[in-house]
Amino acid sequence: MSEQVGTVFIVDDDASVSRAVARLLAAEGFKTLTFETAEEFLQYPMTDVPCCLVLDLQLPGLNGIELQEQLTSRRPRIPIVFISGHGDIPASVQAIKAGANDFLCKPVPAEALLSAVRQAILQHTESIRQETAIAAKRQEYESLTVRERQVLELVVQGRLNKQIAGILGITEATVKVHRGRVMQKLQAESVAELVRVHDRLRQDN
Amino acid sequence: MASVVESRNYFSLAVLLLTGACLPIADSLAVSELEDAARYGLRADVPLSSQLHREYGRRDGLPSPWINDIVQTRDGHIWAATDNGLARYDGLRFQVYDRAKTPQLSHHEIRTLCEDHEGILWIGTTRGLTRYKPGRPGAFARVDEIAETIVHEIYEDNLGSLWVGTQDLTYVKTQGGRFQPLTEAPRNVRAVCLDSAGTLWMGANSGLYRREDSRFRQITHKSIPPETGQESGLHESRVNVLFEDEGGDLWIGANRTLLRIHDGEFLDRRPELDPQQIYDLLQTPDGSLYIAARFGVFRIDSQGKFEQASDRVSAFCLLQDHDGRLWLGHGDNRGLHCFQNDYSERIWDESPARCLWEDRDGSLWLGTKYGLHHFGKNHEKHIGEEDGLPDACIQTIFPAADGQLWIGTRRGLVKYADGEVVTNSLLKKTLDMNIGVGLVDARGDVWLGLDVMGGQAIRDGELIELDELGHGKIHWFWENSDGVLWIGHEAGLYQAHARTITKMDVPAIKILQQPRLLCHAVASDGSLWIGTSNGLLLHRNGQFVAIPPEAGLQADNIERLATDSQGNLWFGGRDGLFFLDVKQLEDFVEGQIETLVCGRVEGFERFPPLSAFSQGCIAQHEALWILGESGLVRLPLRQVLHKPKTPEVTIESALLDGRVMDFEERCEFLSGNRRLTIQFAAPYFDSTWPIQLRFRLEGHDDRWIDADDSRLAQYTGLKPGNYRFLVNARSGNDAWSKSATSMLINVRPRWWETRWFFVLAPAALVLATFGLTWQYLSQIRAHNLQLLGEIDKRLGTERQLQKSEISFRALAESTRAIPWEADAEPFHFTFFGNQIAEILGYSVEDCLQEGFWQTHIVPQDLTRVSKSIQQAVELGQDYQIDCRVKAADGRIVHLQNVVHVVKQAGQVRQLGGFMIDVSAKRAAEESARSSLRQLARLDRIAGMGEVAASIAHEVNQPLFAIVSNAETALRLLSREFCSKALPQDENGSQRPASEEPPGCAAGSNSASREKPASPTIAIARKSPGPNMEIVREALEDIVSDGNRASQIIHHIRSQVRQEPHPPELLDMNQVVRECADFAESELRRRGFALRFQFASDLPEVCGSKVELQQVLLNLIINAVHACEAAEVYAEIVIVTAAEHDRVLVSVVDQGIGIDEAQSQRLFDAFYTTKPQGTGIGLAVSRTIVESIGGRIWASSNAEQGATFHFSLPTAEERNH
Repeated sequence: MSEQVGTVFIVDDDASVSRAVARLLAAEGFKTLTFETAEEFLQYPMTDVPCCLVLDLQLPGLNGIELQEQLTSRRPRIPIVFISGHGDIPASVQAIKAGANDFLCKPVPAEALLSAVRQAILQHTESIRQETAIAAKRQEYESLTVRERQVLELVVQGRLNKQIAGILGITEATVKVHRGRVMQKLQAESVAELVRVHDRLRQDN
Repeated sequence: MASVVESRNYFSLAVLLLTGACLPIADSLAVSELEDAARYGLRADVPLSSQLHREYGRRDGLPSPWINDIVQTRDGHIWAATDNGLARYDGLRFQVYDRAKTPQLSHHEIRTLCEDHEGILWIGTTRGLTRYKPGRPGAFARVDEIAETIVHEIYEDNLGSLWVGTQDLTYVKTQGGRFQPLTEAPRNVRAVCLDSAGTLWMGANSGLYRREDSRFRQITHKSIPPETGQESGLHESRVNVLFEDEGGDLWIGANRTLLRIHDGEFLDRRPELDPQQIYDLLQTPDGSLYIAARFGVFRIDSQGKFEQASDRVSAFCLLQDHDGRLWLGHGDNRGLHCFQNDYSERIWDESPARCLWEDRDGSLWLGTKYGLHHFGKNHEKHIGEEDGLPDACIQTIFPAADGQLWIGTRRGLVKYADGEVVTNSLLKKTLDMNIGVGLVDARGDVWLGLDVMGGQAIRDGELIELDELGHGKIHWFWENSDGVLWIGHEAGLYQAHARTITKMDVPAIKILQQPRLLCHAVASDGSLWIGTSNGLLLHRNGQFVAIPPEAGLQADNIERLATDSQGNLWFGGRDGLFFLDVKQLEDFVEGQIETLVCGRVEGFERFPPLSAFSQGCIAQHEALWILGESGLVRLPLRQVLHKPKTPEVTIESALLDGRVMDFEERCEFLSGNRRLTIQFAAPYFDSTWPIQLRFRLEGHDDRWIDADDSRLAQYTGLKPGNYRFLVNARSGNDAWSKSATSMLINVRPRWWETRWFFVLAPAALVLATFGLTWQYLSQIRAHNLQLLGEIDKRLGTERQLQKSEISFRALAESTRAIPWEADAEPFHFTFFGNQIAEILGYSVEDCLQEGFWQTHIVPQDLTRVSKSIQQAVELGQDYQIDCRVKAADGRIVHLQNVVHVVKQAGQVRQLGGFMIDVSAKRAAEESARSSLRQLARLDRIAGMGEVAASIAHEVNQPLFAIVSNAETALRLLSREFCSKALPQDENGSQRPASEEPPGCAAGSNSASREKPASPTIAIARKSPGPNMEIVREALEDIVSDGNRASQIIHHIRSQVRQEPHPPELLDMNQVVRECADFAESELRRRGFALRFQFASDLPEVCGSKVELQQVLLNLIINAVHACEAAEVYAEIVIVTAAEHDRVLVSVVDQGIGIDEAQSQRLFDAFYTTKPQGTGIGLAVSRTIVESIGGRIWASSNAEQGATFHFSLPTAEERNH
């Protein structure tokens, strides 16, 4: 049994339930934090450590689905494991559609909960890593000059150096210099990689 | 009063008596008699500066010493237009009309005034025109047509048209019409004149205009210098005044010159006046033309002589008043001036005059400071020191027995005989004597009075000092016809009989407080007047009469005294020169009057104190001769004694409680405590004779009342009636004028003061008494009749009662009710109906026995019954009570007991009623109740179904917790016991409590319902102890969660169980909370939230918890349905409250609400508005609530939705 890396946030208005879940997860080595309402959770300052959220569907005030909606804007997205007392199919569909990692019905078998949580935390760890990478790329992209960005845009559109020179009204040699610098700054080995980096950045934006 | 600038105050003088028969030298002195008519009017031969003259300024009450215009209205008042308001002078004071008191005046600067023929005063100001009609509440009124413009000129022509020249247009108002602008007239018209030929002239800023066929033609003339310096004619010169004189000549006062037009020709101009602005022109009846100009007043007399008549101070306006005085208004802050004729004549003005004597020949001897002057018939002679006089200062002249003249000088006595100054050795002894007075008696002795040094006498050729007279000053000598010499001495009055001098003891002198006897005068009848330092003394026919100053003398220190041929007395002191007519004196001496009214000689207001010896004088030539520091003045007596016209008194205004009343010879008002103030005026400008006013209210005053200077009469609280207010005047000592000014006053009675009231009030009183008595009697009669009728009715009723009692008894005995009667104190039954045997199976006798009922009433009911009987007796109220009684055959019979109390004199004496067998009814009720219970149970089960999902959740929660905890425990245990080698990893496994996030901490606290303060962060520990600790905690949680689940199951069971639910004491807040716990999950799932508003300190209620929770659940479900129907997913609020002796629970929703019709039937069984509804829930709820004495109802919310309430009696209240 290895020490689990990650924090599990448990949001459930039933104290005995959240205590039981917390105890179970803690026994498995997770750090746990319990919240009684969605509002309390929203007030908690998040850090970029791997984590996941075990969320009861029915909560006083903001309910689980509504909390999920509010969290979609957070980056990287916090993985959510829903648990619900009612086997409510429409709600579960909505939750999964909105990006929930899992939807479990009470009483949840311990193993099911644990695996869902592990899965979620792994996913979150990966997300964080990717996010960090994208952030690095973005920083590289930020370092490009205006002309270099223009050149980059045209390159990823598949234009030839000659065409780019024509459009921008510069010589082909200059285009080559710009292009080389773009490749260098974005640490891209090939045009294909350049395109991938560019797409990632655009997606992200 | 007005300050008087005395133009002759250099006359420090003595008054001298000339006793001679005639004064022929008067002609030689060129004494000219004045005409009577010109008492006040100015004489052309006297310069204006030598006239009697008064000046009025601010200290006299004039609002400003800058006078723009003067006018005298027909009632005699002098009105002055100043640059700070309008002032009216009545000889006594200035009444000021300014903007503060008279807002109708459009501006404080009054420019011009004009009184028209109707008596209206027109007032032109810098901002418009105002009219004034005296004696009315709205006396002042603005003229709307002429406003916001400077009014230069108001002129009424002899046709009665009023012309107003303003800064802009010129207006004309024909008689009875309104003001119309004259568009064709020039602007800035400053003078208008309609001449006797009918030609209208206008003077404007731009020159002179003449109306020709309704057009105005400008008249130019080369002799008029242009203001601009160009030779362009009159049109460049501002014309200020136009005036047509007696001869028909038109005078034009322009800005630079004075012109005259005679027969249409420019006649002459006055180069003396160039270049002066001419402001006003006035012609006096003697033909003199007075010209007010920039540098003073000028006069052109009828002979055409031109002279400057005053100081070189700009004069703005001139007025000759009705008496002929000349009023002059100055600019340059020099105020208002009044000039009147000075009728005194200066006879000698070369040196100070000391004494005067007329000899037998009628020639006049005047002793002056610088010698003696003799005015003979044909010659005039001066005798001085060079002629032998020891001193030039002549103190006294008196005749010697031989017809020669004694001359007393400052340095001795000499004789003047045959044109020579004679002295001798005897007379030389007097050289060091200052001879003040002297007299030669019939014996030939010469009596001399020295200044301070007492008296001397020359007797038989020797000079003798009169020791008897001591060293006091001798003021005068007089010898009467009997040869007795009277000596006026500082120390008193002395007499000399044949050289024997005695001091006289005169009580009258003591009355006057021992005054100094300053002067004397002998009347023609031989009586002696003595002027003293404190009044007058008269000696006549051996009697002395004292006239103290308080009698009205005006002067106390009488230094000069004279009588004239008619017996009038003239006297002077330092306050002026006065006179008393002979009639008043006679009346006073005879005691007919108590006060004297003195006349005052004008021009002698400041009479300097006498420094030397003095003698008074009156000449027969109808003149008073006055000696003074600058010579001799003659006053013609006729002029002085001229009586001015008695002024007309006008009643100016009547004020009631300070408010001006409108009156037209009569004023009316209601009686009461009201103050009537009547103001009257009598313009009077003569200062010789004082004016006196008196008034009387006929019907109130029985005598005349002297008016004081306030010119007011005040009356308060006049009784109802007709009065006539009279006021009249007199000047000096004249008789009161016969024609008094009058005003009728009608004080109307208030209604209770009317005669009608006095007549009708007693009659009404009698009638009212009679009417009341009549009404009272008829009431009694009606009452009697009513009583008789009632007695009849009672008798009938009694008969009927008897009948009905018989039938009622029959009826009662035939029913299944037991009639009974009982005594109240102490309670025991006295009667039972026979039915008791049938119903209960006991005989009546058994039932009447003591203690029967105590043993046969079911014990549970016994206390209640006895208590109710006790209460009924105490309160005296009818009541009903049910009780159960064991029948003879062992049945339990339900008896409903209807109890009636019979009261006598407020005390409960008896009780009576029926016991009705209601056993069958009770059985039926019990059966119904049982079905209702069944129904309620069904409802509860239905309610359970409704919240089934919620129940599942409720059960699931603890189950999930149990499962998780058990799993955890298992894992830990297996790890504890199976694995010996534990991985070491402390990193992140523990978090100090202080680092707990706040949200986490709060969550743990509020969630720790079952296990307070249990940690919310479960920490995996690797050491065996801590792990076991966690296992223990998990197991404890399993136990509590298991209990929780079991409780839920119990609750559900209790809800569906059929057994009855016994009542218990309940906290409604707790009941509500438990019920809500139960339903909350379901509500949340459906999208609702529950909120509570719990009242603290809620009293306990008594009821079944299960039933009340059923009611609550019904209401909550109801609310949810209502909200769902309205598709409103808001919170549902449950409110508890304590109200008096009840507990109120309300369930507030925001659903579809209820309407009025629904609310009536909501709680009826099987009534429903919902498609799936059964109509049982609310009906069952009502049954439950009402069964414990509560009430249930619904109401609409103000905004949205409905509120269902139920109120329950508190446990305490229910026990009562």
